[in-house]
Amino acid sequence: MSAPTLLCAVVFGAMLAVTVAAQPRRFKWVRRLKERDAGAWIPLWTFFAPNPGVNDTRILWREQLVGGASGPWHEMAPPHRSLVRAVWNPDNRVRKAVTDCAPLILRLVGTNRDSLLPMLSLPYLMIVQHMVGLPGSPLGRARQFAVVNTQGEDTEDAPFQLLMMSHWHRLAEDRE
Amino acid sequence: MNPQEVALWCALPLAIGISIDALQMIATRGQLAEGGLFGYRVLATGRPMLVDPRLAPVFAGIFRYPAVLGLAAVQLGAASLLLAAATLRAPELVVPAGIAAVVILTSRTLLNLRNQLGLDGSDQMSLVVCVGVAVALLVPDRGAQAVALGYVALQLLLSYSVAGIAKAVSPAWRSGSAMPNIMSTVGFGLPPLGAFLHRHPRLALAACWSVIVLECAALPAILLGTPAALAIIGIGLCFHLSVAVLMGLNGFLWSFAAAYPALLLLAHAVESV
Repeated sequence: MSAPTLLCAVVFGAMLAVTVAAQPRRFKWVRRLKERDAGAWIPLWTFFAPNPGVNDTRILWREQLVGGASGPWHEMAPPHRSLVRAVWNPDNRVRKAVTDCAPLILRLVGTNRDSLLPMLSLPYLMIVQHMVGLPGSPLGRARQFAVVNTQGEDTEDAPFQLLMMSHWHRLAEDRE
Repeated sequence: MNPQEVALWCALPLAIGISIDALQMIATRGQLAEGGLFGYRVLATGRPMLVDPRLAPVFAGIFRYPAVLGLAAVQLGAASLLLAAATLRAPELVVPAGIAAVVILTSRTLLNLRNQLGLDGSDQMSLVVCVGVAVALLVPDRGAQAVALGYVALQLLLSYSVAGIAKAVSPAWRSGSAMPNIMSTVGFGLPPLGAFLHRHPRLALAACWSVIVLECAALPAILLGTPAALAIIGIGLCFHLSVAVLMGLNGFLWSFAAAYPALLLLAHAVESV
């Protein structure tokens, strides 16, 4: 066996061994390892298992208008259903990021009750930044978001669960 | 089988998938600007190294909008070169194609470092294939090339096995409720199909168990050699195509298809043993 072959065998063997060892997500060291894996080089291959998502965790937002009235709820990154998304689905990454953020925010809020700490976390700040950047009413003065669970199509009798409601976040006076 | 030939076959779907992903990034570029979901001012707070005083200006220079679009443009250019090498098969394009794979690998690693959330299994498989293709095209040692592509094939088999085992131990998958429930979500499913599967529980049970059996069978099946590898590839392509159509996960088809030629190489190696 040549030196390059041996080197490749050792390096790729190690990468494969780390991937195998990192698959059970319940271990603390796996979570720590994944946190340090900034380039996402260690894959997790447990697609939709063992607990497949059977609900849609969605983020809604609304505005508080001048005078204190609240505007209607809007969905952040609503799903689009079309056959075209099989080849062209540019919103997929945004939707995935929003659905990644929601459970992280819920976990942080759950473990830091009555604390403002979750508001400084990356997923919370990402959602607030996105919400504030969305087009809205020129009379809007503040915005808040809610994390909800829904099941199935958006019909009136479909199961709906409010999981969390954020504080109102004041909009900058000089925003366009 | 010549490993570099196989690597160029891997490069074809890889380049298509990378191009689509880069174009999708450009199409949704507003999300990368400040005020978008992936605005850098907020993302920089997520990793200590991005706000390290020595490194922060360098990262900001690459990651701020619109500079970050350069990472998409670089991937598009590199993917075009990979595509040319894979279709023309000119020997003088082999090394440039290997360099293109390294460029894609670097760009995507930087994007993962920046964006932090919103990644899925297709991104991971793209990185795995990029590593294998880059080494196979750049290292002038046939043994090393074969090992690099063997790594791609084993990651592919591992992905199916882990996904299959995780489903096999899941009561939701074993009872047949997982598929209709996933399909009933508006985010990743097709609610009319979900409702149809709810009305036909035996069909749902068969669908769940088909996925479990197929995913679990991939690793042992490779011991049967090339015919089994061809069967895995055929079934896998149909599976990923249906995932793209029904669930909108369009990246999986290309990134997993990019690993299939490496699977054939592994099957061939198994046969010769």
